[in-house]
Amino acid sequence: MATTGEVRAGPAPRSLRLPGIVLGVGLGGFVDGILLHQLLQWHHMLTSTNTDRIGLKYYSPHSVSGLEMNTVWDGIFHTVCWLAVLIGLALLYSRVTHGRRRVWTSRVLWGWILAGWGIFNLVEGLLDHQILGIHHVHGGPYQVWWDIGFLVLGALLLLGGWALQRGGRAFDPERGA
Amino acid sequence: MGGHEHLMHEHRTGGAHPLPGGPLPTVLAVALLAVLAAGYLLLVRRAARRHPGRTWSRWRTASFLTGCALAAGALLPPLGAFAHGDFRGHMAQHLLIGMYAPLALVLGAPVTLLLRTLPPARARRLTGLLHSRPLRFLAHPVTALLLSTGSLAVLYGTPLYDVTAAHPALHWLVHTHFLLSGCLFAWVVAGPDPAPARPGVPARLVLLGVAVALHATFSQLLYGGFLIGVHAPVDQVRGGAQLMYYGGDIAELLLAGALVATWRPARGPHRRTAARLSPTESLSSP
Repeated sequence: MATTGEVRAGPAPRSLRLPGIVLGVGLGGFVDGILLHQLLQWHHMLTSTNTDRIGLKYYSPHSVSGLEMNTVWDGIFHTVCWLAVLIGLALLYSRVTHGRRRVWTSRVLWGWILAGWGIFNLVEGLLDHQILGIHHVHGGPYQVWWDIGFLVLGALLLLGGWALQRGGRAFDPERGA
Repeated sequence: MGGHEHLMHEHRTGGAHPLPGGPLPTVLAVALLAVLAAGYLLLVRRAARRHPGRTWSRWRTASFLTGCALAAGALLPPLGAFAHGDFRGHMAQHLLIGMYAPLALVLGAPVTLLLRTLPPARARRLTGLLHSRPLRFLAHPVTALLLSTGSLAVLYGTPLYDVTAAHPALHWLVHTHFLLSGCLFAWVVAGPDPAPARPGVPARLVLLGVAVALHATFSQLLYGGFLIGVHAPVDQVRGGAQLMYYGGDIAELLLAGALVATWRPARGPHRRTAARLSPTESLSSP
């Protein structure tokens, strides 16, 4: 792991936490949205509303109107992901005035980004798959296992990211040059 | 591939060549891109000779060459011919020409390279041009947004798309427009090159957000069949729209990455106060 980006422990060790996490949530959403929704087409936002827990109408991804509704909700999901990425970048910008190149090689930032991705998986997994049940990672007879795998991946990312940022020395954005 | 081949033949009429306007314009365009790449390499060599101590970043060179290759790859027969008869191919081609190639070209910092290698008098004239009123207007974020993302509405919302399919010259004009407007937008939003009155990072993030929203909306409208300009089989339009949606996302994420990778610190001891156009490392170098 590159350690060139870090400087001695400074007085602002947590300054990259919020931007890193918000950015990670957005990027994790894009992994879900592009890989699972689009490339693999495992699920859309509302593909399991026939078995959901809140009594939504079923929107089959194989009918035009059902796909339309799924597309609208995928669009909302897409907007949330983009807002997270852009806000994360804005937060990062507001906190990093010098050493902007080095911040991208800092373990602290990447650790928090991974943690943010993990948080995305945990929240999405618990809320959408478990509590609301509006879609599952990979619907079918083994959907419980896919959903559990998704949560485990989230937990691993969160723990791994947290360990990574802890291992890196704090990046102090004020000590640039 | 067989299915695509089949569709392509269906759309070809009267034994016309699968490349728009025959092979000649494609050959010319690719040759032009090759000249561009060669010119860039020559300038890099000249820069190295002029300033022996300062090396030109290999990443910039690699990026610019990648940009030329991406644009050429979009035009050459495998994709170029597929794009002629299939809307999905057309969309892949336009993603490459209008989003991916421009970003790579802009990250190659061609203006900085020119400033570094031109004779001082001409470099000064170039800086003057960058400050000039027409260029300020052109490089205004709203102009750049309208020219790049906004032109999608014109192409797919009016009969223009159908007309370009029938008129090769217009088709090539649209290609050129996408490449240039894509470069303009990428240059305004991000990139190592100096730009006149480039807004601060927060404003550029908002600009990118607006572009993303428009791009996504247009792809959704296209998917739903609300943009009436495109006459192609439904599965092709949907496939193309999905490509536009997700392919556009990845390109815009890369652009966001380029924005943060190249942003200049807003304040601090290293900031040269008058350097709004920051003629960069350029003219006054040893």
